[in-house]
Amino acid sequence: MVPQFTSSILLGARRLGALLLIHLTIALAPLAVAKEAPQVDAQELKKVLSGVDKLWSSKKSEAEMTMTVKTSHYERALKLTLWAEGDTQALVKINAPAKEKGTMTLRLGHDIYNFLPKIDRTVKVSAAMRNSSWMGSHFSNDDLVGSGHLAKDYDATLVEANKRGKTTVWTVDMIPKSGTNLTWSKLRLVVEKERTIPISQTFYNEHGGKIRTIIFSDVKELGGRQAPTKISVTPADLPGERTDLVYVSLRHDIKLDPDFFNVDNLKSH
Amino acid sequence: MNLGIFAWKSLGRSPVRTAFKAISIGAITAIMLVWGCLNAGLSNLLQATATSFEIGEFQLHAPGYLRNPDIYATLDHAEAWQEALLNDGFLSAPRLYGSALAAASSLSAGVQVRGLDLEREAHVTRIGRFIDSGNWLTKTTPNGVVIGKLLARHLHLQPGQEMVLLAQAADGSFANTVFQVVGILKSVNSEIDNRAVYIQEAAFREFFLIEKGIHELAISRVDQDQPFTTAELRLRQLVAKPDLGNELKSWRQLKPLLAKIIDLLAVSANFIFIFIYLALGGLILNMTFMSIYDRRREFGTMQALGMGPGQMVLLILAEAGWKSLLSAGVATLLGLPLAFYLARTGLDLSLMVDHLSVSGINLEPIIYPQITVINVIKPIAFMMSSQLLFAIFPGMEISAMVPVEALSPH
Repeated sequence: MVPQFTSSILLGARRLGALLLIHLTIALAPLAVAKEAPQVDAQELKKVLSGVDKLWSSKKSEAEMTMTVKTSHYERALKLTLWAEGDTQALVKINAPAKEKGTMTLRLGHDIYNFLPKIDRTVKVSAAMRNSSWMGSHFSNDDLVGSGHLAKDYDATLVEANKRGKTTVWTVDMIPKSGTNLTWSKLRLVVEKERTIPISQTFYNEHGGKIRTIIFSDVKELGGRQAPTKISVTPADLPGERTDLVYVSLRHDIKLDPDFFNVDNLKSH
Repeated sequence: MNLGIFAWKSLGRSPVRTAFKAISIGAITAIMLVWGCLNAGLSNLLQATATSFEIGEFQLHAPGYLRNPDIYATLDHAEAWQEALLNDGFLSAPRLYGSALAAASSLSAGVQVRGLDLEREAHVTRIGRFIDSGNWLTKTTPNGVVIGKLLARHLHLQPGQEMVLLAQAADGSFANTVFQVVGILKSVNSEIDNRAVYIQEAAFREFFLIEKGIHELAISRVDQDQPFTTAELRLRQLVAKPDLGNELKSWRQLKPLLAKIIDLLAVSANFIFIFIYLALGGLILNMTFMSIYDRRREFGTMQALGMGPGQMVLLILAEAGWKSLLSAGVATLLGLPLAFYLARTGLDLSLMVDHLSVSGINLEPIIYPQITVINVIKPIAFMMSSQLLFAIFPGMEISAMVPVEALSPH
């Protein structure tokens, strides 16, 4: 999976992406030449989901990203660097705007810390603030902690399979397994089967209401793999608002100091 | 002879019995008098705690703010509102609210930051006098914060220590500043105790990057003797004039459960009065029957001498009236001084309960009775009515007796 932050974003991004999906679905619907029966071998489904999980992930990685946020009250753009190790450690550093330059968010397991250069303090984010917005975006702090693995943490059911040209597009409903402590009741993943590239994820609450959609687009070579480089999240209750996260670069299997993800060393990064 | 004088003389023939009855009933009435005043005092305490420590008597918000307290849903022209309200006999205080993360050392908690205009707030609420340790905010400490009691405990904070606030500012940026804790509040209610962080309006605007507008205007009557309903009507007319859709709520609408509890206290007090005096009436009935049977020959003689049944009933009622007056005197002599004493010292319940909380509002465990003419007259009026009511039946019984039977030794 993506460094956990991105993977959360992916899941998040898997949470992140419905608008585009809807647009794509509508736009490409006439191209569908055949509709497969929604029957699939469980192993095959798991293989596709594992493929999505592994799309951005590596032992150690570094990514340069931009994030643009559009709300009804403000628009802002940030430049970020993301380092990640496995699924449990990640560090995001803000490089721009100047006002917030040097601000960092560290994820260690289930804990989140913010380093604030303006006041030279590191603050642990309490559980009560996990659902709050991260840096004014439509991602929450909880997205940083991770939204689990698609292949391991969900019961998946294939609900639709369409052919779009040579590509098979699967729509998979995913219910979190008990004990996974995920904050939504269902997510619907639309994925390209052959390349295991996600197209969108839509998140639903316990009443079946849509929470948000994440759309994955601009598939390019990223860190030596084909992967979506743009992840857009649109909240269902705030029409017109969105956050776009764009990968500028991604390097896999880089070298990081053993104590790189250390809460006491944040100032030195 | 006048029936009233005759009845008075009749009572005088058994002074010990009469005194015993008057003192017993008077003592019970005195207790009811003090209890009634304390009950009214508790209602006052509840309302005063809710209004004077937090919400004020009324609040004005931008449309929809109460349903969805969005930092951008501000009430504009706050200064103009404050001036118009003052001209109409109302004091007002602007407030700003924002969510943040408060942190100290390795601990953190979600909080509600409350930006206040110190001078105006002091006109509307007494929150600034509710300090447990340290001091209230002053203009000399622009970066000072006063925090709730349980929040201070959770973050291990004391006055003089630093607290970091982190939040999303109005422009979406990541606001973070170090504040100094200058005071910790006494326990008010669970929301304030656990989440409140009070800062000055200017500090709030700088932190959250909100240049203008307010989230709430807390309002109170200048003349507290003005009837609340009259004031509410005038205020609603004033607020409705610009037709901006702003929402005015009274404390009863903002704290409906508390308003119901206060109403229930008043109703339950009346039920308790009725219940107690019905029970007392049973005793009075029994005592009056015992008395008239003891005096059966006396009543027989009166009837034989020409006293009619109506006069007999009136005589018994007159005797009951005298007894109730004596009881009222005893109740006043015992109850009023006790009520006035408690009004000075308060009834301290801390020996009986650790924590006094009603509808989520923490109360000082000292209740001061509210001594009003109605609160004093009501238990006495209940007692006198009860005495007279329960004397009618025995009076009718004795008036129905035939003189020969009444005078018979059997």
